[in-house]
Amino acid sequence: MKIVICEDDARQRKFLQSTIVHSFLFQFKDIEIVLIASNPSEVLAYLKEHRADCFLLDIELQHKINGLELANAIRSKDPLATIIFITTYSDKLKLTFTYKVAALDFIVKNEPNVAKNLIDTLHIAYQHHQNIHAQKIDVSFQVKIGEYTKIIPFHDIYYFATSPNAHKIELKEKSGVYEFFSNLTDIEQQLDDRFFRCHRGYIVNLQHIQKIDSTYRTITMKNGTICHYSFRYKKALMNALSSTSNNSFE
Amino acid sequence: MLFYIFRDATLILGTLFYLLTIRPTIIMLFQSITFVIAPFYFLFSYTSMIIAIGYFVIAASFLFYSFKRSIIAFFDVIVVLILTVFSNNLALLINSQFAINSTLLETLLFIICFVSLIIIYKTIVKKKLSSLCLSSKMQLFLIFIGTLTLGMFYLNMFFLGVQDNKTLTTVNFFIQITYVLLIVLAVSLLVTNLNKIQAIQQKEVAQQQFFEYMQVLEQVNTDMQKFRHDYINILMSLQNYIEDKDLQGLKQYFYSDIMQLEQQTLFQSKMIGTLENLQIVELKGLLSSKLLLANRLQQKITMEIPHTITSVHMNLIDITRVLGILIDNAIEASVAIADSVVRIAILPSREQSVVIVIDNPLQDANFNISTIFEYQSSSKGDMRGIGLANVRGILQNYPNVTLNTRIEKNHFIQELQIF
Repeated sequence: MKIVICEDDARQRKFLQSTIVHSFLFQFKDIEIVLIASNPSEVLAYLKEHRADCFLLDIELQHKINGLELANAIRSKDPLATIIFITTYSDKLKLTFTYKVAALDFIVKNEPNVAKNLIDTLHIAYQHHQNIHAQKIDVSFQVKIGEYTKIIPFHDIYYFATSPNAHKIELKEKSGVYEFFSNLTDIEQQLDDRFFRCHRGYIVNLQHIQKIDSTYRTITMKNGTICHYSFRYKKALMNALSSTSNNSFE
Repeated sequence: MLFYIFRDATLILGTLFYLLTIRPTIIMLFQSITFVIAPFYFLFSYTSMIIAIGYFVIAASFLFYSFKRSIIAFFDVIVVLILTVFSNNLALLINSQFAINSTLLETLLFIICFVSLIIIYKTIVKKKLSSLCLSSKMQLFLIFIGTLTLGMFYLNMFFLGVQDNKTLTTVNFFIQITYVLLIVLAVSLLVTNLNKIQAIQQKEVAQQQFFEYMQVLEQVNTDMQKFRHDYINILMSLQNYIEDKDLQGLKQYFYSDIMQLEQQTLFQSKMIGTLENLQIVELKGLLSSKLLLANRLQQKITMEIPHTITSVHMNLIDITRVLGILIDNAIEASVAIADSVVRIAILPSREQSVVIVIDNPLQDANFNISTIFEYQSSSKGDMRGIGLANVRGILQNYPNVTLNTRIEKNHFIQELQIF
């Protein structure tokens, strides 16, 4: 994982570098700091020829390009890069940065446990990087909220259902409910075998089925919610169920 | 024939005097005869019935307009004629139904029917119409409807009996078209009125919100005054500590007393300042009252509105309700947790869509997210928990709005997107 630092205060630069070196570079051989810049132009110049995975940016850069604009520029070149902001002021605009720039996190400089926050966030960034590398992206579903893309692993999804009105799809997963515009046929193509279209309005994750009731043609999921299946899919549903209990996905 | 004409015309004119509450003077009577009755007889004898009746209607209208100086005169003339035709027909119908061919009975029936209708019209309908304060456009419209109805009555009477199929069909066709057009006009007027009513209601809501916002501003202002007042005292205390070279005491005083004050008072005005970018009055009112609520409950709350927002593609009453419920829930859940911050952001997104995020920390790790939207499911006991079900109900009407509800890293997050 290639890290780029952009910070105009020399002391801060040293602090960031030493924290990363001491906490990370021993544990993980594939993390390196490829650039320590003191202004945004250096970063942009570097990115013309090279690329990086993780960016630590100071927001209050005393330059004609501020941290936010730099982040946008990086984001436009590389939508999957991890961006972490460092700021002197409190995290007043945390949500803004998350949803508008899809920043991973916010670190506040003068707080007591800056180092710990920084390390925790870098851990997450590293995991994110590993996921992308291992192409685990393929076993997850993406939902876009503002500029932020939430990645939901297939493993956590219970079902997809159509909403009573126009073109909205409801996604129910372990820790939440999402609504977005799509249709089940398109979604089916993005999923893998553990999902089954059991009804015109439902795609269920076979691994999370608790029980099936034939009289009412309902499927009860492990979290208690109820889906429906239609008659014509019943046989295929049963087949799919028995074959999944033989496989195991991660 | 002359007798009948005279009889009918007098009847109509007399009724008009009664309806418009005019005391007939000799001059008026004279004018009636000269301008209305005589020409009517003349036209009736030498030209067709239509022209005669047409003249009668116009002449009577203008005559009574000159007596009463009110547009109602036109309307009343038409109403009287309609009622005359109607009563006449009704009398004929009853007469033929019971196969009694007595002209006396017929006349009697006619009088009963006509008189009762006129009385009903005068006492009830006229009162209602005058109390409604109709605009002149509406009045003209009513007169137009009346004239059309009268026209159709006469058309019915004089044409339909004697014509061949082709003319019959044509006339029917015209009657039907006119009817349809009338209905369309009436409905569109109704709809316009309903829209006006709704606009007024929305204005009322906006006003209410504005009022609340003003109250909040006043509150902030008072607090600022208080602060300025206390400021001097604070400086004096600081001076004491400095003179005494009491660094420890100074440090303590500064962090515990002054920073507290800063956080409470100026925090509020800073927050109100962030609402500046939200150029929707109703939402400003709602959000500022929520900020106040949070402050009263000593719950830390941040509002992020970094760019100007002028509108949302959602009915303002609905979005106010939805946001109200979501923010109340967030605040209520956070109050129990020490040092928690409720975060709210309103961010513009591509193509005039808006993302609203409400984030609050969560205590209960086993929070069951599946049941929260159900009616009367509440983690706070019975007889509550209608809020989120209402939210879902409201949002179902909007194909352009999505709501995500989820838990991430011990935070409860609601993401409302309005496209």
